[in-house]
Amino acid sequence: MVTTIMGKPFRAKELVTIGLKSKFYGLSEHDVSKVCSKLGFYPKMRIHQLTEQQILGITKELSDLTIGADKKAIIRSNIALKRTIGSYAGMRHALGLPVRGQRTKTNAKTARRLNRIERRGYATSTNQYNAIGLQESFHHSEQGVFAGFKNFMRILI
Amino acid sequence: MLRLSVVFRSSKLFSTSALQLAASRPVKATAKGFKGNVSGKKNRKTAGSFRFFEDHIHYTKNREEGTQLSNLEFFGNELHSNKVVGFTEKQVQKLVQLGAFKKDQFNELFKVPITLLRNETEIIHKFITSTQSTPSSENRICLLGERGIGKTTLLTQAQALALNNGNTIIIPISYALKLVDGTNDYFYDSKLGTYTQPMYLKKLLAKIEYVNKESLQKLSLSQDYTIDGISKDKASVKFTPKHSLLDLVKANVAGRQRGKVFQILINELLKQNKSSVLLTVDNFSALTSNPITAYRNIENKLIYTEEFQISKFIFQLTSGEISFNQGGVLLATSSDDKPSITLKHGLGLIEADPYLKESEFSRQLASKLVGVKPIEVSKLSKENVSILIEKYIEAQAFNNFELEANSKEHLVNQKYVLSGNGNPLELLKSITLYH
Repeated sequence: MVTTIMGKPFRAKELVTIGLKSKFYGLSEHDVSKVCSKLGFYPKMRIHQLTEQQILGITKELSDLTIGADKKAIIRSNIALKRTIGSYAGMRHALGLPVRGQRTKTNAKTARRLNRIERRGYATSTNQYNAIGLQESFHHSEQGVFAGFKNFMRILI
Repeated sequence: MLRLSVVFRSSKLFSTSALQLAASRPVKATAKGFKGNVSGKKNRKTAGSFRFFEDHIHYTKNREEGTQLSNLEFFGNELHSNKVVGFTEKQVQKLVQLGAFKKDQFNELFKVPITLLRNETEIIHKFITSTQSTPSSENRICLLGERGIGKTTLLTQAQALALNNGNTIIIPISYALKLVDGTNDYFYDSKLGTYTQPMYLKKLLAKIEYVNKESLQKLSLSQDYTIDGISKDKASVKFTPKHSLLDLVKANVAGRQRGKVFQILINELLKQNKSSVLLTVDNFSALTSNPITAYRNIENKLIYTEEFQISKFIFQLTSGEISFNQGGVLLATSSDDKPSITLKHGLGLIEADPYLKESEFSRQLASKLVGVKPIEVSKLSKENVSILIEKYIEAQAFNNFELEANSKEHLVNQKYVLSGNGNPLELLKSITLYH
């Protein structure tokens, strides 16, 4: 039995708190706790125990929060802003290197994997980029070993 | 050398693949007669729908396969210490409903659950006798002791004694942790001024109804009560003095009105003096180990234990704030919960550090326990162990090689040491889990 909330499928036996937290990007444990408390859900409530009205209540509460694609767009725009103003953090993002002072002699694998012009780790869409007014060149980031360096050079040029 | 090894490996591979091919040849189908199972469904033996073995054993009817002990006396009013007795069929039915038998007690070894009458049983017997004539504020005891020492078993004995009396109404809280751990629904009842838990109350009222049917039938309501319907379309339920307390408990009311039903029941029990009322709380330490529950209010702020209707009722009785005309409060702690200074300070066993945090020590809850008499459950004596071992030998709980290798006296000495000098649970484990 699957219940759908805001287009996301939930298993019937799943705890409401854990289900919501895991399915929606940008929804913290505290946010979920606030939503559940407001709607009067008890902590160990499961998805199959929700009535239709309660599901509508969840939808209403979540629609007021910035989650999912909107949250991702904000994060992307923040990174883009850092690069446009030429900050150190923006440069490190572009180079595909750790931003917060981590070592690079070894490790730094997460940063190499994720830190790009369009930060990887979540889906991106061109529409969102246009909406926040970013340059066309940001859309086509380089791939490969020297991707970070190439991208950085493109900005400088 | 390298080439040789390659050749050797390849030849080996070739041979195995040939074998595999040979084995995969189709086998001629043979005719099979139809023997039952016409529906085509596979009769598979599964482990049941329970995830853990102890749940499977506890909830399924394995007890019927247990051993029937010979010359077993039943639990009655004659309570000589150092004697093993069994519960009667009627007692078992009601005790099961009360949630008296727990999973880790190995009751499935016997057809009839057995219990050992020990020194503490006499204390419990005196307590139950006292509840028949004196108010509950004078009869408040709390059973303490290490894990597996027999606190729940003594609580069960008290419940069985109360059931034997026939004129005692038992209000059973079989696992107090359920009140605070967030497993039940809740809402704020503005009329009562407390949070109520409809799902828990449904079970509790059903238990009270089943166990105290005869006693509740005798008591009639003192005044008119009206319980509102769930909506404007549904009619409200009216109760008059012609109705008994059983009618009240049995009434089919909406979930949000159960708190009111429970409150009326308690108010009526406080007024009457025909029957004695016994509140039994197992796992009581769950309420005192942390004053904060897992629940949150609408503003996402913490809810304290005492803000819940049932918890508040328990603490009102333990403090003596409210008191039944005849009755008592019997609490049993559990070692599953975090050891709490609140409980020990409240019982007057230790003095709490005044600089402790609120989460570690609740002065307010501790003050509600003043006057409750602590009873430390002692370990079994060697005579007790000897009597129990006789019964376990009869129930074939021992391994054969263990029985053949040791004399009874040697076995008693051995098991007494293994059980940590007389811990009943450790004794049982040393016998049943020694394979």
